[in-house]
Amino acid sequence: MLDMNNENRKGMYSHSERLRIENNAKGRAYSEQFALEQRAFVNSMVDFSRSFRARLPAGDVKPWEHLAVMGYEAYFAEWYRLTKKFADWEGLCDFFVSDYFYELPATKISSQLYATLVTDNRPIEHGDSMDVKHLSLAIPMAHFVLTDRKMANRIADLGIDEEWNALVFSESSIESLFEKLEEIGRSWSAKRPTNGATTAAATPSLGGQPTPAPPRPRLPHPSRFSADGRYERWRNE
Amino acid sequence: MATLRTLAGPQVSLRLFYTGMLFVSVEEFGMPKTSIEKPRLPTLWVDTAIGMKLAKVSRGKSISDVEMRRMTRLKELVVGLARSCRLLCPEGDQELEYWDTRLDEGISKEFAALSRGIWMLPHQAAHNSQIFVAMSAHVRGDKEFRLPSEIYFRGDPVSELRKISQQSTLFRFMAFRT
Repeated sequence: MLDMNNENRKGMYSHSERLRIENNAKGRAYSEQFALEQRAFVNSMVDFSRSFRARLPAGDVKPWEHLAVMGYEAYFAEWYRLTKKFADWEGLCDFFVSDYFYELPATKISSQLYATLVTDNRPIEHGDSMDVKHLSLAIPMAHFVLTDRKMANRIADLGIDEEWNALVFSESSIESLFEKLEEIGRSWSAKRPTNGATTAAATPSLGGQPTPAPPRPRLPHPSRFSADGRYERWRNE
Repeated sequence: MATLRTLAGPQVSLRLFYTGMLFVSVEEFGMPKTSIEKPRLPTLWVDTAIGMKLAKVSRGKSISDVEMRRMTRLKELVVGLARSCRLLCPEGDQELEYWDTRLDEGISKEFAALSRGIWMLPHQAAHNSQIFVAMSAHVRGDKEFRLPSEIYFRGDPVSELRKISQQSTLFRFMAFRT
């Protein structure tokens, strides 16, 4: 599987770079490419299914293609569970071209970043395609994102960081990240949670102080070990 | 002004204005609003390129003084905060990105140190969870849907981090006793 991934990684890079050169030659704009990226999911699902079905009787399928089919089947199974419609291609494809799908962070961010990459004048770098994949999950999930300078600039230019409420840093702005991390350390040092208050939220609002969680009832300490990971405290008891 | 609503699917409603001439403008697209939920602890995502630099520092590879200072400081802060359960720094399926490179083992160790073993679900699994939430909202015609932070992790990452920290405290205690 890892060997296959290695091939895919190289293939993805060369495909993206070829596409970028073609797009530049055609003068394709970002917005046009963005629309294509949004539809890429459903297009690839339909194309793959047609091709798979045509090759299946002759047994001309690779092992990983069965895994892909299982992935698509999961969508049909969920669709059936929700609508009681079996093999409802029309309904499912309607969903995949709807705003419900397009507005998903993983879909939207990867479409935005990938469209930028393949319509840019600068050549694509080797890790860029994989970075797009990871960032499309990481940006909506994380409060802070540390990535390379070019990708951080792309994210800021597209307003992705603001849209998903994340602070994006690169090595050139890493000192600001250090300040934020030190701030977290300071704010938590003042109110160190005990085991009874282990779920205190400390989600920092952007540019502000971390929001303190409402106090939880203090439970008896389950052991002599402090939750902060230090043993000096009980050693001195 | 006469207003006529024509439903052309759940996402488009058209408004008809009469101002001497007839034209149609889109009043609202009825675009669903996606709200996201982030983990309870501040969460940092570290890209693979940074992991590579951290590995270079650990292995004593040539790297500029400024980069070395930055990477050392980053690791010190993140490891310190993660160890005291104040920061999540989960690792994703990044090993697919650096596998079979010169520094793959070193990078893996650096990410393990930063994350303290907290992993995100693979990309496809998390994306599928998002799709299933949106699919359900689409079928119900909801105007808004929420993506909980749990879709990115197998369990509760904050509890997991605390458990790991308590275990490591126990190990240190045992080491101290012996």
